[in-house]
Amino acid sequence: MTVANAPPPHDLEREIARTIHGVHAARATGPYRLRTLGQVGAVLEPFLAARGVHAPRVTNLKRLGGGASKEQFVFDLETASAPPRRCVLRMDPMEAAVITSRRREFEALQAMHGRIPVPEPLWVDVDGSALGRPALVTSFVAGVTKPTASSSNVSGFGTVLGDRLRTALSVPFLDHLVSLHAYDVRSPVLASFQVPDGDPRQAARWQVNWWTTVWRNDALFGLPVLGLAERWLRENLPVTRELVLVHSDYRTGNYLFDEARGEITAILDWELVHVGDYHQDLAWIDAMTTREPGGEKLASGLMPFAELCARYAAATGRMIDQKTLHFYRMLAYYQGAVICLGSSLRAAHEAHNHQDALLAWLATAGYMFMNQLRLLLERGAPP
Amino acid sequence: MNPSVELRLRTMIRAVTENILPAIDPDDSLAQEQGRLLLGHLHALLQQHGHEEALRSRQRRLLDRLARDLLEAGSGGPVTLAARAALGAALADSDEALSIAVERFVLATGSDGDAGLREQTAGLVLAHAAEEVRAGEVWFRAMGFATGIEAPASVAALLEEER
Repeated sequence: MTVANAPPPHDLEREIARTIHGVHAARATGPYRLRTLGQVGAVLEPFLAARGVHAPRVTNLKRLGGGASKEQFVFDLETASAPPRRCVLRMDPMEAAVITSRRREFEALQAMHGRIPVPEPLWVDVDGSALGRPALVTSFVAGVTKPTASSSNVSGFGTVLGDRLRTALSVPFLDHLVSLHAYDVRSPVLASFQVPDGDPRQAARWQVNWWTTVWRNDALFGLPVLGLAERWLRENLPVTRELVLVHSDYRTGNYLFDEARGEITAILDWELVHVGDYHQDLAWIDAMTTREPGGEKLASGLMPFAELCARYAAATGRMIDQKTLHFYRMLAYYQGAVICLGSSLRAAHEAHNHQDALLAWLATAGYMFMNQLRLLLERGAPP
Repeated sequence: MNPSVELRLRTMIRAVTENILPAIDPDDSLAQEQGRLLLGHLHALLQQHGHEEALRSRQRRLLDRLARDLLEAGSGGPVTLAARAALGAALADSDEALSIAVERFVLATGSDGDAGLREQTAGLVLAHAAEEVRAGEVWFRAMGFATGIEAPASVAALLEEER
């Protein structure tokens, strides 16, 4: 008996449903074997040649740490017709903390490249037919995700930036979010994205259906409080006033910055991007609150949440609706619990990832999200 | 005498710290990260060692109590009644099966549970969640993800509460 036996929710974005279903259907295969550098190098050059790169030569291929969902490599690409350039390969393991589509990530990077700092999307293998697993190649961007002298937990949780960096980074952090939310969601670049405009609550419903589907597919055990949270979410779907491109994991730890100059060099992790409600990104930033050494709580380690909302509203002219924000906070904590206590544990349990030890570690963060869910459910929605 | 689990964990921590981590290529960031994670897991295991079965029993008792309280709380339509029957049957099943049955019952009350049942369900589930979080806070303290909930200082102290 598994949670997956429960009736499936309907009304889910097609590409997301396809990706989740593909992973679930392949669950009986495995375990996932870490690829050697030789194996990766052997398929990478033919892959690049087939995409028109003239006589590609891959050198200095190395693994990259960080993150909790993809196998990542960095390499130098030498060709007969262009100067050498440093690139990054992001490749799917069988399962991970989040199951997502490389096609969508590639399209999102194409949409953002030139608007805000992101790695340049170069090539994609959407189904893994060339590289063995779905993967994409981007340009390499220099930078760090946390101050070199600081410590944080896995995936950048709990990063403390310090006064100088906080002041410097908070401005572009907000500017880039505003630019992202100004993008035309019906752009043909976003070919695999659907727009939830079937009814005013469809954007919220798609999100609830997405994460409850993931929980049902991945959970190794039940969590009563997640049942209560799902009940609440389904009964309180907000109307979306304006649809925007939502990053969905916009936070400190998911951007690179130049430590000396205090500049953001790239916004990373575009795998959860979708068309939805701008409150979702704001609520996620708030959910990633850190407590500074002096005790002050800062949204994503950057600024008090009220200040973030005020600055966002001033820059966009959008209203911040407290009830809608409350809904997306609930969703954020639900999503966090699902990622940690559902998908991460499942991937480790099935040996379907190259970082099982990290995923088993990350799972324990699920109690933070559970506690926040509990507190929100106790408090109830604002009037 | 066999070497104890505690001794073996301590020797592994020393091996990872003094021999293995220094030998990893500093440019191999994934291997470095994984090595440090292993060290963290070993420290956590050292704190948890000897308490795992007692904690599992505690969690099962709490889940049994929640399930029985839910079975006695209010009523509802056919969806709720079907989930209630499944919940009753799951009391004799594994921890995993019972936890899933409880979660499904809670969700089912959203379909056609009586108002009284829905309210009682929320209260019971939230009280249970607080206990789950307290246990998670204590059990995984070494992992560094503080929940912010008030909890005993040690696993032994948490388990002592029920005695």
